Amino acid sequence: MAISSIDGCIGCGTCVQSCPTDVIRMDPRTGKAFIQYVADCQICHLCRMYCPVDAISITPDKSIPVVVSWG
Amino acid sequence: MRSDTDRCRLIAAASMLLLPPLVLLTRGDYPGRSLLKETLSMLTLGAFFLLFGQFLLGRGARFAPEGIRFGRLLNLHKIIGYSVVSLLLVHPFLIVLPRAFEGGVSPGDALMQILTTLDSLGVVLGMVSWVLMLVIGATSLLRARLGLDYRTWRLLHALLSVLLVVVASWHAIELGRHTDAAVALLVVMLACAAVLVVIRQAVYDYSNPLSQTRGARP
Amino acid sequence: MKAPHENNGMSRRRFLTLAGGTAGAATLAAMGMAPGWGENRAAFDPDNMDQKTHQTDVLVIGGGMAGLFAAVKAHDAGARVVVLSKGRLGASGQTPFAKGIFAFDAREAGMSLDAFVAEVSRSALGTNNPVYTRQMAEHSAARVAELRDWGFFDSPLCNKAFSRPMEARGIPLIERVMVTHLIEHEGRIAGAAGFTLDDGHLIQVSAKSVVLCTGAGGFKPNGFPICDLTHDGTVMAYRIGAKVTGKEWNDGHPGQAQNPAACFDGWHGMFERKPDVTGVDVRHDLGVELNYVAYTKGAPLPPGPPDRLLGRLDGGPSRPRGFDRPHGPPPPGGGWLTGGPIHRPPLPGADGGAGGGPGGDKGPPGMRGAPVGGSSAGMAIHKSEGLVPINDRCESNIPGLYAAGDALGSYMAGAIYTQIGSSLAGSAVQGAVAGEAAAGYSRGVPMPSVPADKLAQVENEMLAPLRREAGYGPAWVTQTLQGVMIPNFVLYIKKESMLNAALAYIEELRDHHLPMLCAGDLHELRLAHETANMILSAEMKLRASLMRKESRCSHFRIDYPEMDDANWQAWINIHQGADGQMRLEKQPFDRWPA
Repeated sequence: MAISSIDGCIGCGTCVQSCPTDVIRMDPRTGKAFIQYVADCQICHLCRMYCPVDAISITPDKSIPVVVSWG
Repeated sequence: MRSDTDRCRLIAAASMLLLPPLVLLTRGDYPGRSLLKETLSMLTLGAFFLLFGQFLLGRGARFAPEGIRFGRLLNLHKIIGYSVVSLLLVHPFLIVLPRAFEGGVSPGDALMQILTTLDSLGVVLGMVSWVLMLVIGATSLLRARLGLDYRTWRLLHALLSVLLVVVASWHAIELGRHTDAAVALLVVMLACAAVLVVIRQAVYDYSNPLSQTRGARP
Repeated sequence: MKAPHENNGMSRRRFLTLAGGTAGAATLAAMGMAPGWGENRAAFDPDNMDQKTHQTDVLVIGGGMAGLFAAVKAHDAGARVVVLSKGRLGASGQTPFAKGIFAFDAREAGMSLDAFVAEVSRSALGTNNPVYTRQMAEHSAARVAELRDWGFFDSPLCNKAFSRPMEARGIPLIERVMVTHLIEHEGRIAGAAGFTLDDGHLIQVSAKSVVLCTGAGGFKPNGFPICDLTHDGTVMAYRIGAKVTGKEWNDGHPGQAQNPAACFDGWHGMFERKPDVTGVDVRHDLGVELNYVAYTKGAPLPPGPPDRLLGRLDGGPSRPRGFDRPHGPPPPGGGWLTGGPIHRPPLPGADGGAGGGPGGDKGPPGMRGAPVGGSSAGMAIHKSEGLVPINDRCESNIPGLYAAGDALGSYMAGAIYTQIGSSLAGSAVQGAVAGEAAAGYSRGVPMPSVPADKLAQVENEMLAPLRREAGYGPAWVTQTLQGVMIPNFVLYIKKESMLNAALAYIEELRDHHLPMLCAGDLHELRLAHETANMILSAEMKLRASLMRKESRCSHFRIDYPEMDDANWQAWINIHQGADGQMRLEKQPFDRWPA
């Protein structure tokens, strides 16, 4: 499902900045990055390439929300 | 012959320590990575867990297999100590090393990013651990040259080691890529055990003044 | 002030559990994904936001290649500069993925500047603006040399190299700002306004001049890394009266049937490469051919380059003589991997079979196979869509408003891909030109003072989606828009009836859904504005496509398959009429706008 996990995050925030589509946010409680808006991941891997500790795993399949008639 | 048996027993005892973490790691749900990265991770984890074993191979050891001479025990303590400390001292560099072989941030830039993330508790704990390891390693290697007498050094070594095991465990729990609940629990248990071993030895030393004049000289 | 963001209290573990197990609407709602229509429980309070105001001579919007040079050159020309970027400097838009940059060297090319411009014009079938073609080639080597100094060619990632000249000059840079409004006052540009994505500040910048470096855009398509590009700059400028051009042209990049959304994998690791310099190689890369073959024959396509297939088909897009090898043998020095306007990804099977693409070994098994269309849906040819320049200084029809790179409809390369690597070079060159021009302009004008009620109105419009108690989620509206606009029989193989049908849908989204877009947090607020921008861009694309009753370059009308030089030696410009309606007009190829 696109960006799939962040393991070993040091909380530098680089991935949050580097994501063009604003998928990742910092969790103020843990001080670490977490995947908040996975549906918007464009699988470009910039977050992974910028991460200093190589913490981010990404799969090639897309997470797509279910299609409904209006809601 | 006897020394060979000793060695075998000691190695077996040491590997017992690596068994639980390895079982946990193979059972855990971690995303697959390149062989180089996995190898470096496993080496680092192995080194980290061997750190706990050092407390059982020191003077506080009352768990050593029957019939092993104390001197041999300390020899192994030294061999493992120096190798583990060396490996863990380069651990920050090993984290960024694979970047040299792939596109993305360069190893140097990655290291700078890590070292400047000072608002991260885990990073600061890691830095403190690194300095502690360096001091422990240096004071052990250069005890004579530094003019430390054995008893002072022994006290220093024990204090620094306890400090290290607490800070390093905290660091591993805070930042470890492989730290899930089970691994964290194991680390906490091992750290507690290590601290207990040292306390037990201290109590023994205090209540048994004789022990303060005896003991193997390294 | 509020906390940086409203965490919905979901750990990774819980998230994975939910995602893996109990899927469905409840999960999606919990993950912050917009349910479509329904009650809007905003987790962010729009009435409790801090406002930050800035004043500057030149405001640069965008942090890619054009924005970098606009900022640096405006500063060097003596102006005070502020840069706002939706993402991170050098890590958003298309710049991070552009791996080839063109540098013109007459000696190395064995071709004069004049000859180069003539060759591009010949391939572009007149659609290019030779003034901008020449400007790009003329300044390309100088920009490349500067980039080399800053370390651009030393890393696959741009941020460090881009930060160097910015930090050396102390140019203020505000990242992760969604700019939603350009502010016009008394007939000229007065600044811009937006909000920060992380801490939810309102940002208002008063500026004597603005340089839009906001890139192109698409419909958040699957397969091309442009999901953050939604024509924001173009639409903001259109709303204050700027003229927009180039909406009928199409980028025709194909994707791959397996995991079509995986941009990184589809490009076979090219994103991890360091950029390099390309030399003269004029071509006529026509993306619609593959789409035409797929439309006519159905999928999957047999392996091989599309020109081979085209020979067996009647009709279809045509090429100028001498440019009839679309995906011929790779040129010396790397072929596909060094090629392409933004370093285009290799076509699956382009060199003779599935899995044969250069560098294809880096993709996981199954990543190759049959090509599929629409991977870049909604994007035009680089530099062909955007604000209409009124001169060679990247100036728009609104005094003080400039645009550069893919935000400027300069027609530098025409309505088709003509020179490998020129897109990135053009962004650098035009950024520098626009930055200097804006700095010059700002010396002669006073700092605008915008009335408070105008600013209040802007703020109101900006935050309206957060305040709506019910409405439509932007993700759902975007999905609906994608469903209308991405199929190949709408924008790739065009015909009157389908364009009108699609337009009816888009007008419905514009009139009914756009005014009811709602947002629960700052991320969704960004999506709401992006969705609104995409709706307007879709309308422009459909209207321009309807108007151009011929086929030329990357615009293909199956009901008008021939080129019509008698009527269509002209570009189409779009602006907003006094009644709020979209107005379209022709601008002859050889003239600046009236």
